[in-house]
Amino acid sequence: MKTLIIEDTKKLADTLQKFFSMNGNNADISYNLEDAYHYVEITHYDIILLDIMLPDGDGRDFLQKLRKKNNLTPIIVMTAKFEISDKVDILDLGADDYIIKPFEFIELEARCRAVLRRKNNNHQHTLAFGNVNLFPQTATIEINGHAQSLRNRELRLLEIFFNSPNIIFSKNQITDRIFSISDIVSENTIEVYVARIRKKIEKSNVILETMRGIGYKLTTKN
Amino acid sequence: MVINLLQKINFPNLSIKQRLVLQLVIVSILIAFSLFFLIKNITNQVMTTTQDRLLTASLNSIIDKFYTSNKDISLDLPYDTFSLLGAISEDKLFYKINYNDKFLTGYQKFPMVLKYGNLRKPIFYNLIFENEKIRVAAIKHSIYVNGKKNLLFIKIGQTLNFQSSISSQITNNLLLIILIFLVLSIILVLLATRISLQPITLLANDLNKRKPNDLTLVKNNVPIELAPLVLSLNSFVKKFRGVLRTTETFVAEAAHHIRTPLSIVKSESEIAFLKSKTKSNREHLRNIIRSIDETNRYTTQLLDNAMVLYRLEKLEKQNFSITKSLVHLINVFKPAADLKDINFSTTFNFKSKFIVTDKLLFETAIRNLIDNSIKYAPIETNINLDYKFFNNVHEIKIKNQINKKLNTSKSALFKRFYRGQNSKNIIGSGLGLSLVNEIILGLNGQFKILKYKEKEFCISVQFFC
Repeated sequence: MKTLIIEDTKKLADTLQKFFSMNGNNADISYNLEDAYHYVEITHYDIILLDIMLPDGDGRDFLQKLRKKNNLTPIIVMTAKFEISDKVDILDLGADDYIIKPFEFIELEARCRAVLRRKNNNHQHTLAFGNVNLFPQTATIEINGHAQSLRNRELRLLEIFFNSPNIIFSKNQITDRIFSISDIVSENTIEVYVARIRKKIEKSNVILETMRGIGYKLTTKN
Repeated sequence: MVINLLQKINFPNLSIKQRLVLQLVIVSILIAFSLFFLIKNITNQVMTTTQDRLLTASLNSIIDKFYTSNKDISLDLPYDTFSLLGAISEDKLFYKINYNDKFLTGYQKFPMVLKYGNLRKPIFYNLIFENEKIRVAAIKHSIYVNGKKNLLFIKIGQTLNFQSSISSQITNNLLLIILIFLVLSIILVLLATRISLQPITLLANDLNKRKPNDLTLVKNNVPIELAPLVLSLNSFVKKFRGVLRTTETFVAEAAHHIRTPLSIVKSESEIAFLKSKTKSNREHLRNIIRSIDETNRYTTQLLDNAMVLYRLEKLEKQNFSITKSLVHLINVFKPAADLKDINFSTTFNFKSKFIVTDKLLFETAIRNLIDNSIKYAPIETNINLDYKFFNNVHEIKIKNQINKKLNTSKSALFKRFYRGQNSKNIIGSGLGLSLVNEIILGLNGQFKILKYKEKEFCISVQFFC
């Protein structure tokens, strides 16, 4: 996923970029609107994170101009003052979603996923491993033509493993990806989700293997 | 005197128009009565003078009919004159003539008088004789018989029937004229008052039509007497608008300036947390993040509170689809609910319904309620948002499960900074419900907690059309 972060607060923009990089995504930063116009003209982005109050103008103007040019790149507005004086609904201006600062990365990630899912509704993206197909847009898995629905955390867990099969993920890594950091999560919780996933994929040639003392990995049955 | 009297009369419950009309009507009545008595008095004087002249003429006629010879006097009474006097309105005529203190002719019982005038200036007076009020003229006249001076005492009286009849006719006519004058003057008073007070009436109507949140300047043309009032009202509105603008900017700036550094701290801490490997470090960072979240929650709620107070002063009502707004809010919260695998279900008895209220405040209230329900609902549960429109009432019910029964009173839940027993490990400020309550009351709605003692929490918000 390629992201453009339009944010004038350098430290915030930089940490956002770090977060996207840690998850294997690319992110460019624009600290003002002038650079942002330049970036969107030369590069295609999967998603744009846009701040409202920028040094050289209002993020809403950028949003309007982009939509007038028929640029339909999903945009999530990050704002600190949304509730106070925004008389024009930013969603009416063409934003796909908004998030109020300060936000959790996990929430931002969830919103990005939701927006991308909505935008790519007609373009079903499939993740496959072994004889299991994972459809993130519809939150379903299909094994030998038999479809099962997934809960959000089950989907997130499977997405992590399907994106990196045969890679070991520790309980901490999994917890960080599917739970809010401020949530109090017991170690058993991950085991509960892993057990559910195992039950859903038991008829496939794929297993979620426990690497004792290390974590879990997705692999095929020998 | 009249002005002083009017000033002393206080009409505490009357409008300026009513006071003015009442005062002008009182003045009109006073003028009408004064005119009535003045005209009546003049008319009476004229009639009395006329009668006196007639009586004087009669006296003259009597004197003219006296004849003297060497020894005697003779009188040829002027009956034609008497009959003329008596003919008018069948008035009775009395006379008495004494010659040197001896009764000569006439009504002997006719009372004596002490004073007599002369032909040029008779004495006139009124007296009651034989139950009739009469006007009398009396003169003393000298005649010479054989060179000797003799005195004639002549009194002639006439009843006042004619005068009374004319007076009563004039009184009736006068009363009619005065009545017409009064009616006309009242109509004129009403018209004049209405025209004079029109600028005030227009100003009052304009101000009455204003809604509490209308902060436009008063642009009515008003008389110079009212100009200072309108001027001070407009300067107050300008000042108030300035204060509100400053508040709005302050709240917005405060939000921006507080949240942006918080975002940096939080995101930096999250990155540090994700990179951290040791359990103790992770715990420390988790605690920092939780504290940031707590701070953020308080900040948000306090800023929301400031925004609500500001906004309730200048409601911006608009007509919008309540159902669309609810769907929009659910969509906004869906990613947050998904993080806890919480499902939203909706039951709307109308697919589309419109409401006239302040959209921002409405959405702030509902957002707080949905946010609360997500926070307190256990994972993998359902939140139901129910919308009904009945008897001109929009009712929104939000139902969610809770981990623990609440053993507290409903009123405690509305208290600021109060947090229920089920709030352990859940980040919050305890301001949400009190804020929602304030908003709903400000929008003339009703906010109720229907269930909270079971493991289910249900609130109801009603807005009236």
